[in-house]
Formats: sequence, C-alpha cells, structure tokens
Amino acid sequence: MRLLNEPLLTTELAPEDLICPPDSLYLHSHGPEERSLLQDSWVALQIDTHFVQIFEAGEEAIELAGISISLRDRGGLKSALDGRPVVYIDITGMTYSTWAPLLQASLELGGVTRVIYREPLDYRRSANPTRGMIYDLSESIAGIAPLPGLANLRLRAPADSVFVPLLGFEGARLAHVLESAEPASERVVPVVGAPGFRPEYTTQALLSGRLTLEQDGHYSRIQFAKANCPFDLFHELVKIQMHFDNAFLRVAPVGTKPHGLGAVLYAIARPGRAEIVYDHPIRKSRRTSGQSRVCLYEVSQFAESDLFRGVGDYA
Amino acid sequence: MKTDGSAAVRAQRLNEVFGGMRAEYFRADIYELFAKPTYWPELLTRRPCLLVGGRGTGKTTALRGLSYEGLSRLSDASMSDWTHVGVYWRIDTNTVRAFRGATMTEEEWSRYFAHYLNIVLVQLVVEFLIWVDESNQESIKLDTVELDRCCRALLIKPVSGDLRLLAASLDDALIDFEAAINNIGSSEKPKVSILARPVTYLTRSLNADSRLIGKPVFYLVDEYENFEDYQQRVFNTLIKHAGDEGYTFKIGMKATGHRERTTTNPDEVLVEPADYALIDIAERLKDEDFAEFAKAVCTGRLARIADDLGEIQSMEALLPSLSEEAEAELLGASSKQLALRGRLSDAGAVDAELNALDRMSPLSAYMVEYWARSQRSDELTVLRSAVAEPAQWANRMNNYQHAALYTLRRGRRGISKYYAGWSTYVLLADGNIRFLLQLINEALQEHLTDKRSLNTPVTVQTQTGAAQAVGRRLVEQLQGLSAQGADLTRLVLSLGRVFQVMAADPEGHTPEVSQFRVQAGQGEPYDSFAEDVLNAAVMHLAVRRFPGDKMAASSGETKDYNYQLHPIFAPFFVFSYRSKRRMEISSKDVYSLVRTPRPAILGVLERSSRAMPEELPEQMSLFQEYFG
Repeated sequence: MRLLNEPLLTTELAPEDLICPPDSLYLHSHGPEERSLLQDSWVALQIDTHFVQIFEAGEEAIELAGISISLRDRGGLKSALDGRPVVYIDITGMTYSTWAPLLQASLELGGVTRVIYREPLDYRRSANPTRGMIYDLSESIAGIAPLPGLANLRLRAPADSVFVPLLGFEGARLAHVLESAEPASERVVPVVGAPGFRPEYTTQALLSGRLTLEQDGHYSRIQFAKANCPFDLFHELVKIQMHFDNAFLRVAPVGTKPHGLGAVLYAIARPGRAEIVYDHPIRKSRRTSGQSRVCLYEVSQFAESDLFRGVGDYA
Repeated sequence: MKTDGSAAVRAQRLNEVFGGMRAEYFRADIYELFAKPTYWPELLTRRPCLLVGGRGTGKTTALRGLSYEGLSRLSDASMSDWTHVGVYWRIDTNTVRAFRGATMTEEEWSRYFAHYLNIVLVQLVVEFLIWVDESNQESIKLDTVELDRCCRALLIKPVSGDLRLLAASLDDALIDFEAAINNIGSSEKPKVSILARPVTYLTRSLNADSRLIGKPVFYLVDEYENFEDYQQRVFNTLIKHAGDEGYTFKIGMKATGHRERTTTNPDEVLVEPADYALIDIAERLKDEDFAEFAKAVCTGRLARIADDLGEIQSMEALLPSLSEEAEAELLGASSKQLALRGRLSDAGAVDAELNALDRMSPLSAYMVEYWARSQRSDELTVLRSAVAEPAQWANRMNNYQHAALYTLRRGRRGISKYYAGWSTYVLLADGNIRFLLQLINEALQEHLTDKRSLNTPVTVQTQTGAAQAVGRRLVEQLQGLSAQGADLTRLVLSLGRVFQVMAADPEGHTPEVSQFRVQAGQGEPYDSFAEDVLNAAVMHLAVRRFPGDKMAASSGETKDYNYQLHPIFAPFFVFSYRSKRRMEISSKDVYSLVRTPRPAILGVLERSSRAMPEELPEQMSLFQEYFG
C-alpha cells in the first residue's frame, strides 16, 4: 500500500496569503458565523476574481448569480460553473447540502477545483451542559437524509456494511446517527481528528462522544486523521474499507467540515461502495468565534490520482 | 495486574446471552435465544398486522422470527410445512428520505416511491429464492410466464426463469433508478412502474412450486415510522389491497409511528380490524403475561450458560425481593425506633405507651415520627392515636408507608431506597424485554465480580446498584434516540429531579406523585413544543402515556393524557415506579423545563411548596453542572 507516499494536498495559509489567479470563480455563502463573511480587505487583494455568493433557496435549490438551480440537477450546476479555469468553493459558510453537489458538478467538469475552509478560533460552550453536550453548536437536528445527488437506494445488510462516524464536539449527534443507523456493533470504526485544530480538541471530541463510544466497545476501534485534512481522512477510509474486505462504508460526518469534505470525496469516488449518513444540523449563530487559518484543498488534483479513482495499486 | 481468567470467561459468557441485546444486529444466535411471545399465533395469520412497541419490546425479534431465516433456524420443519414465506425489510431513513424535496410535489414523489417499493419488494423475494438455491434444498420452481410479467411490469427485460439474471437486472434497475433520483431536478425523469403490479406477478410465479403453493409471502416491514407521511399513505395502499394477492404485511413501528391512516385515495382509510390487526405489545404483554414471557426469555438464556455459571432455581430465588418492613430495617428504621423511644420518654410517655412502641415494627414506629412531621403534630400524640385507633393506623400505613421509605435516609450518602426483586425488575422494565435484560445483565455482572455464582442470590444492594446504573445509562442514551434527543434528555433530567425532590420530601403532601398532566392553552410556542416533545418522549419510551379523564373522552372533549416518566428511570432518580397520583403542569412548564431547566424546576417545586436541596443524590453527581 502506497498510502504513506501519497501527497496530502492541503495547504494552511494566513488569510491574507490566499491569492486566487485571475479569472477564477469564487463561490461562497454567508452562514451564521462571522468567519464565513469575506473581508473587504482580502477581496481587494484578488485580481479579476469573480465572487459569486450562493443563496440557499428552499428545498434543495440555490440561487447562483441570480439563477435558481436545483441541487439535484447535475447538468444545471455544471452549466453554471462551466467556463472558468479555476473554481474555488468556500465551504466555510455553506451547508453540506449546498457544497457537496457543487463539488461533484465541478469535479465532473474536469477543470481545476479548489476548496477553501476557514478554521474557527473558538467554539461556544453550553450554558446547560450534560454529559456529551459540552458544546452548544446546533439549534436542532433536521434529521437524517441523503445529501443532494448522493443518495443510495440499494439494500445492505448490517453485516455487509461498516459504519464510520467522524467524531466532533456534539456527542448527541454521534449518539443519534448511531441509533438511527443501527450498525453491527463490531463493525463501527470511529475516526477522530488528530492532530486537532488545537491540541486539546482531540481530547474534547473523545470526551463529547465518550458515552456512545463506551457502548459496545466502539472506543477500541478508534482511528485518527488530521482534523483539517480531508485527504488524510480519505486515506483512513481506504484503509478501513480494505480491512473489512471491501465492505460498504457508511460514513457519518458529525465532526470537522474538512473531514466531511473527505467523506464526500470518498462517496463521490466510490459510488455504490460508500454512502454519507448526515443529520443536517441547524447551526446556531455565533456557534464559533473568530477566524484562524485558511485551508486550501487541491481537490481536482486529488481527483486525478489513482487513490481517488481506485485504480492501480488501489484497485 | 493479575487477572482472574475464570471470572473474565464467566463475564463474557453472561454478556453473550444478555449483553448483545439488539435483534437488529442480526446475529445468528438471535434464533437460539428466541422465545415466542404470547401474541405469536396472531402474527401467523394472513391478515396484515401492525405490531406497535417501543425499542426493546421485541418487535424486531418477532419479525425476524417470522422471516425465512428465522423459520429455518427456529424449527426443523421443512419448507413444505411452513405456513408462509417471510422476508424482512428495515426501513432506512437515509434511503427513504431521498424521495422528497427538489421542489417536487408529494403526488409526483408518490409515483417514484411506488416504483422503488416495487423493486425492493421483488428483490426481497428474489433474495429468498437465491438463499434456497444456495442451500441444500431443491431450488424453487417458478412459473416463468408470471415471472416475465413481473419483469415487464418492472420495466426490465424478461429473464426466462433465470434467477441470477433476474437478481442482476434488479440490481441494475435500482442503480439506474438511484442515478435518476439523484438527478431528479433535471428535466429528464425516469419511467416508473405501477404500485404492487410486479409484486403480484412474482407472488403468482411462486405457486409453481408445490412447497409454496397457496402460501402467502409475509413482508416483514420494520420501523414504519421512518417513512414520510405520504410514503405511509402509499404503503397503506399496499396494505389495503393486499387481499387475495398472495402476500400480506407484518409491520413493526413505535407508538405514535402510524401517522397516516388514508391510502393514496384520501377517501380510503385503513381501518382496524377490517383491514389489519393491531398488536400493541405494551398492552398485550401487561402484567402477568410479560412476567411469564420475561421469565421464559431469562431462564432460557441462563440455561445456556449453566455449565459455566451454575444453575438457577428460579428467577425469584436469584433476584430475591424485599418487603417494605425488611427494607425499612435495611434503611435504618430500627435505630430510628430507638431514638424515637428516647424522645417519647423525654416527652412524658408512660411505660404502656413505650411498650406499645416496642411492639410496633420498625417501619410502623418510623411512621409515628413521619406522621408527626406531616401533620406538624407531636410524636406522642401520634403514638397515642395509633394505639387508640389501630384500624385507622393500619389504613394510614397502607397509604403512606411506601412514601415514608424514601425519607428514612434522606440527606445521607449511600442507598436511600432499594429496588430489588424479580417482580420489581419486571415492573421497572414495564413490558420492555430489552430493559429487563439490561437489568439482569448488570446485576449478574456485578454479582459475578463479587466471586459469586448463579447458585447464590444476588444481594438487594447489588440489584439496586444495577438498576441505578441501567437508569443512568438510559438517561445518557436519550440524546441519540431522535433528532430531538437533546430535548428528551433535558426533559427527563428536569422531570426526574422534580419527582426525586418530591419523593424525598413527601411529608404533608399527596404521597407518591409519579404522574403528571399537561395543561395546554398557554399559547405558542409552548403548546406545540409540549405536544412535540411529549410525543417524541412517548415514542422513545422516555415517558409513558395513559388515557386521561374518561368523562372528558366520552363527552367528545379533547382527550387528555396522563404521563409518567418511564419506571426504568425510577432507581436512578429515586422515586416511585408505581402509577399512583398525579400533578398538573402547564405546556409552558414543559417548555421551560427543557429550555431553562434550573429556574423551571425551582418553579414547579415551589408551587408544591418544596425547596430544592443543595445536594444531588450521589448517582446523579455526573449531572451536577446541569442542575447547578
């Protein structure tokens, strides 16, 4: 296995060091957090970059440059993105339901696609903490539903699947996805972000999920992937799937957004061999504060690799 | 660190039969451990059945027992002797919710969902046919004409009886359909089949085999509540028209999970008993029936590990109970009696009165000081009254002695109330076999840790500790049960604290208040919030619900419900698991108990003239931050 030799195509930058080439398309959305807002000073540094704000327009639709497009219309999304040499998708303020289909469409176009994620400085703690609910990040959970364009309809027996929850600060979400999916207990492999955005975050993620992880000994199978690197997460998923004889992977991204990106890339790369189990949290405003580094992910470059395509040494 | 290998082996053996409690994990030994519930014969009829029960009540186990895998494992009967062919399908939320959104109407989605149902229902039977093919049995003979009609109805190429080709074609059809659903926002729409038509043809094709001729296919559909509302209407159409088509449905769902009663025709309603039989597991397995069923399950499982852990005489002998008198002794009533004697002597009690006190049981003697506190009277007056009017005293004991037990060790560390005995465990589980198995497993694991075997009874201390541990664990698991899990956790923690304080401070109040009724009419968002969170709480067994005022129900007024925290939480919070008396709270109280718990708990307690003690019971200390 050549995984150790595979490049991790993540670059960590100070915000002012991110410079987009001319004629790029920069897609972004204003979420409930301040770090999703583009700073005027940063925008002023970009030359001939076309900034397009995405507005979420109801049930699985977006408004992009004044045009309403269904997130389940791959052709429509591709048409909207076509013609730009480089497409940036800033997922910081976007919901998974929005950026996952945009990413899929952009990758299919074959041009350069880069994903941007702006790390938070801090997370908000709960005023009424109970075990597993230390951080108070979500208003509520809309419930488990497939991401647009990534639904799986095929029947799978629990014994043929492996459940991979990606750990975060919300133990309740971890408990809920496990309760809903009802995987075979010995086929649950959690993944935690390590190293974390901050060193202590790994421990806090484990503490948040401790009650659930203790059930059925899930903690004994915990694996690790760098919290801000989707490619490291992708590598872990490859290893897990190979370990379980190419079983169907059900990946629940209830952790960091970069890990969520890695999970979505995996589902795109392995149609019929993996699915996303996502609970669609409704985010609280001011769930985080401040902005730390900017992470730039070379996803289209990654999509050309044997690892992504599952060929060569990874067949 | 030294380890005791034999203790580890015994713990593991115990866990094998009691620890893996979820039928959903579909391990082969689910069938080894199967015990038929009392309603089993009703499941074997051709009528559609709705099997209603919370998690852990045995729905999935029963449905799996009806499947072809179950039938082949549970008895030695050959397929010729089977009464039906059962195929099991668990509704996966992540799959069925693909059929919504994308700005399409429910009517449009109904057609696509119907096509999906057709493919899945056919695939399930094809999987059975392949299973037979791969086993040591003769392959199922199929009517190829009807099979080809099934293919045409499903818009796939006829297969001329080639089962493997059919399986592959179905896989391809589902893959293509999946791609179309994922791109449903485009102008290209997939072609769809007519609901039920392919299933009917497939079922007819099975009649070519003498082992299956005339035998219905049972579609065993689990977690029906996961369907969207319109999907339930589509499926209700199947149920309504199953009739003589050679198949029927046995459907498992949680309470409040059957949200839609109409079919795709809004004028057509699914009616019980004309269209289906309703089996409410909690109702069916009440009281003695559940106790008998539970005993069969537990003794059967323990028999499997008797070689390693020893044989039991009976569940009652293994888990001895405690009378209230004996419990009072354990809780220190004797020393209280002695102290009371001293006080009464100082207060001027004569020898005859002190002798009367000495003749009383420790619990009865404790009731003297309890009643004196309750009535703000003096102990000597109460004693004299007890002696003078024994019938009245006996009645008072009957009404209040259980409540008094909660006060014997008030404010002290350690066990302040015992929860022990097979019958108590059965009552705590309240018809939920999974809860009962958890209680047994926890108690026996602790028992074995003390280097005991199953030949010796489990101490009441161990039983109580086990009950607390299970209750605590279930509180912690609430957060994962639904999208409202966080709210459910807060609701149970807040109500649990209220009932705990009330149980520890019953003097001068109605004893054993364990139920509550919710007054609506507080406006929004309170009324809607309370209704939603209580519905979720009932569905996920955090709370029990009873029909309320019979008079109101018969007069046509809105049916009120009484609620009670599930008895399984009683040992953790330390209140009574019995269904006794009720208090009133408002929908605004429910809202506040979830959103702003600390002031809300204080407010509810203040209305009943109680204050919140500073200290939490020991077992609740992990929630210290929540209660403040």
